[in-house]
Amino acid sequence: MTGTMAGMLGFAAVLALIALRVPVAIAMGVVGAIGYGLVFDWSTLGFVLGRAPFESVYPDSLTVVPLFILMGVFAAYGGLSRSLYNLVTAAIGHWRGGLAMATVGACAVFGAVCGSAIATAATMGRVAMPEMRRMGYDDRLATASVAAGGTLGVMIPPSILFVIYGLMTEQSIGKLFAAGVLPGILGMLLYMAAIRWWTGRRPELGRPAPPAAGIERRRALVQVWPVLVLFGVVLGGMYAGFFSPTEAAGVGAFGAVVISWLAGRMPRAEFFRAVQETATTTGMIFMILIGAGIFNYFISATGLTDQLIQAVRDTGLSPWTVMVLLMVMYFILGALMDELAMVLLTVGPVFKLVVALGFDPIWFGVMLVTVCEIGMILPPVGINLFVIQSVANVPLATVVRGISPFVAADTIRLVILALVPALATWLPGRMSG
Amino acid sequence: MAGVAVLMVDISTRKTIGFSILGTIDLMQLAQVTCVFLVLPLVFLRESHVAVDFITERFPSRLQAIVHAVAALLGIALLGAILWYSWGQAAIQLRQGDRSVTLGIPMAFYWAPLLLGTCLSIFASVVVLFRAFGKR
Repeated sequence: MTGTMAGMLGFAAVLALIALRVPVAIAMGVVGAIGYGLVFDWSTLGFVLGRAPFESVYPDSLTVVPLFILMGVFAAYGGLSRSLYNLVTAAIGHWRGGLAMATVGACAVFGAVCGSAIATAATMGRVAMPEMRRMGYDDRLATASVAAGGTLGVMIPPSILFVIYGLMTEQSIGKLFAAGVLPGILGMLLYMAAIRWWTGRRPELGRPAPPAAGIERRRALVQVWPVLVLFGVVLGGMYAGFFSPTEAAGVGAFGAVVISWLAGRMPRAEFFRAVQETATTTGMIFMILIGAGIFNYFISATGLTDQLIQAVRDTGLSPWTVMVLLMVMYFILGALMDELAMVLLTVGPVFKLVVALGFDPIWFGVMLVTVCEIGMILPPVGINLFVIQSVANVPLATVVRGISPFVAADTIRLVILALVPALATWLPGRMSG
Repeated sequence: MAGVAVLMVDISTRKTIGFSILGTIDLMQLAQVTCVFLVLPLVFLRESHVAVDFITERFPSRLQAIVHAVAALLGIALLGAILWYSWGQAAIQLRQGDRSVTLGIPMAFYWAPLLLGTCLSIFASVVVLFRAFGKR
């Protein structure tokens, strides 16, 4: 059996195990270990299993992961979402479909302090769903707007997916964060346009809320300024070269804890729950990193990546055709598995292929995260669909029936990013340092 | 949280009076290794892993329990192998007297959470295995 064939079989075996509910980390680790032994050498497998777990956790570059998780969890537990929602609702809630648009807008701003789509959707869902229901919004529009808006959390910096992509491909995390800003704003605007279009055709889905008084708007702005300052310090500090990503993450985590504490929104029980959630989320992500570390030893041993690049060159397909095929592959994978696992499983060989074809690695990171966002709201395993189903206590079918305008909006964004790569590359190109 | 505290003190002193805390990276790495590996047993016990269940949830409950148990067994096998071979790697570093770059912390301190956490994760997986059998 050739190395390429073994590598392909390895991917198939991982997917088969994942389909049988074997945790992604275990599936990658088991297949990686057995595959390495079969393809390369059983006698050195001990070295791989002895080193890979330590190497997957020890590097100081990974410190940024738990710190940004801490920042996001404390932002979620600290009630910062309520202030954001009040502010955006006060501004646009009186439009047709305005509360759904405000939900998307608040998700985008909350995504600026929280790098997780799940946390963003769950947090904003708890705040926005009662309000939209009170105003008689249709559950399909209400739930789908939260599910889709939540995905902005992984595009708008800080983003755990960008961090993982940057670490796996040795790209600057700061530049990736900067690259996500404009596509994130574009995503927010397209989601709002989708809501506008939908409520234009079916006004009964989301009627305008009464306009907010001037004093309400000012009060909302006063409540929200610490969040905006935190975002400005974290991203601005990185963009200006004042902070490294790890330092920015540390400042962000510290800031989120302090803001929550000063606002009196963090009783002791909530504090410990937030710490516990940070720890388990960190452990879960690092366990996948350990599994991916073992699997990557196997993929390196097969030489799959180089042969894949050569095989693609031999087909004579244009780089853009290959890119479209890759995006289709990610669409399918995203609908079937967790996005973080999908990135960790595939990004090694795919990244080298993409770079060999002449694409910008930062731009590809943005494309990849955009497809991940789509995967998060695509049935059957779009994670945000389940999050909102649970938060709103509605049948999954209700959320799924409302999601298609948002998937269409994301697909349009993907096409725009392909046609105008500068949307992703312009800001990173102007960064200091 | 301890890591955040060390990092914040380092940043504030470095950016204001130009004084950097010696060995911040060593301490952050130690905090990270300790936090990650000591929380892994909880991840295994609560089954907080990323897993896909939209296919297996259509299985009959008996088959679901078997699949669940097989997943736990695979986890135990992988963790067992990791523990066995990591023990060997840790012993080598201990014999060689390896230390961290700046503060000279013995590397055994970094390996200890890995070994302890992996060992406890195996016990957690055994609990999950019995739970799976209990469902049958």
